[in-house]
Amino acid sequence: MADLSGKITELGKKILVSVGKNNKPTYAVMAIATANGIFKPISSLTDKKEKPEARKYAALREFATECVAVPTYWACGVGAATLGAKLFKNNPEKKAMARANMMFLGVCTAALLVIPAVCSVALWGLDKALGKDKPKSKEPAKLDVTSPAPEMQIQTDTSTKFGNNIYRPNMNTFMLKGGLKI
Amino acid sequence: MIPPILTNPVIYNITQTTQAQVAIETGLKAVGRPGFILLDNSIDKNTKKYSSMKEFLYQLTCLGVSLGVVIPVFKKGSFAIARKLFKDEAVFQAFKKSDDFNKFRKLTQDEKILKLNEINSATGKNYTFDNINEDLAKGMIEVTSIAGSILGLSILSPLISRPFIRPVLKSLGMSEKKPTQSDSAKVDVKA
Repeated sequence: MADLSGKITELGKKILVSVGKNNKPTYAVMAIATANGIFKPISSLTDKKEKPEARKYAALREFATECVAVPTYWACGVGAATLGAKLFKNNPEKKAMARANMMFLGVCTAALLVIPAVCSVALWGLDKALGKDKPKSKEPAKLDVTSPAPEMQIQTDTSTKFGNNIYRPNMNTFMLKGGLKI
Repeated sequence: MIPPILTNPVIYNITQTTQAQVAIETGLKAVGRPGFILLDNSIDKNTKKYSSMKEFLYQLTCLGVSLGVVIPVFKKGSFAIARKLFKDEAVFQAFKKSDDFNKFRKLTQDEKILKLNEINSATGKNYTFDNINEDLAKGMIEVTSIAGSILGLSILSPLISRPFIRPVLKSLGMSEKKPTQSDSAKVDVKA
């Protein structure tokens, strides 16, 4: 048991020395994004002021945001650091400094531009998959009394067919000539 | 032409400090995320304004909680924890507080030796430049700062911001637009 705790202490010491020598900007941001991906959805799910459906949706969005953030921080940080090292490959003194500074700039670019942009696209896709981008169909329909009434078919041809003979009553008798004559 | 910022020692020192990393990153998030919400054309104007302001206030809360409370507390406690974990390490016995160690770290080699002689004469111990493990102490400070940032940004900020943001937005005249009963049951009687 004492041997195991000694090994854990030694491992902890190695990790601390490594962080002390080079505290890469990706360590902090990736650790925070991972923790955000766990605790922020839990926090949203426990918000009693929101409806259960809204809570679940907010938690899913937060989880998706952090799922995008973790690999983006890593990719931007490591990519920028590699570029920094290539720019100073002939100057070993400045190479380490350029690597660290470029990694920091990469992480900053990820936080300011890349993650919000990727999230906009990814969350739009998520909304589309969940059908959240469509207008709600459950909304009660407005009672619109100005809407036109359905057209009714009115028979204007008053002729009645009896076989091949057409009998046309003279409507003028009633309509135009009818009424009280003064 | 390579910009001199890439090999700037001031930037390098910032990149090596968790507190500065977290502060800058959260500040950028407070600009970037609301900015992208405002640029989104698929959301209506009022919702955009409300959501971006909400995100901005949330990031400000994160910044305040982490930098103002959690990281300083963790930073101060880091050496107390380290003394229990690494009982034989000279660096944690020679320096009682992380601030004292940070001042020591900034000194030149000669100044460091002088400072250790000063500590030796005051405590009666025999600390040498070689048995002071600076990387271990620096790593301890940074790892506890990361732990503090996680506690502040991921656990405390969502809990603190929830009752704080809505009243602030309300006082700014912003409210989340939800369909009301009167809206949905509206009867259009125009003839």
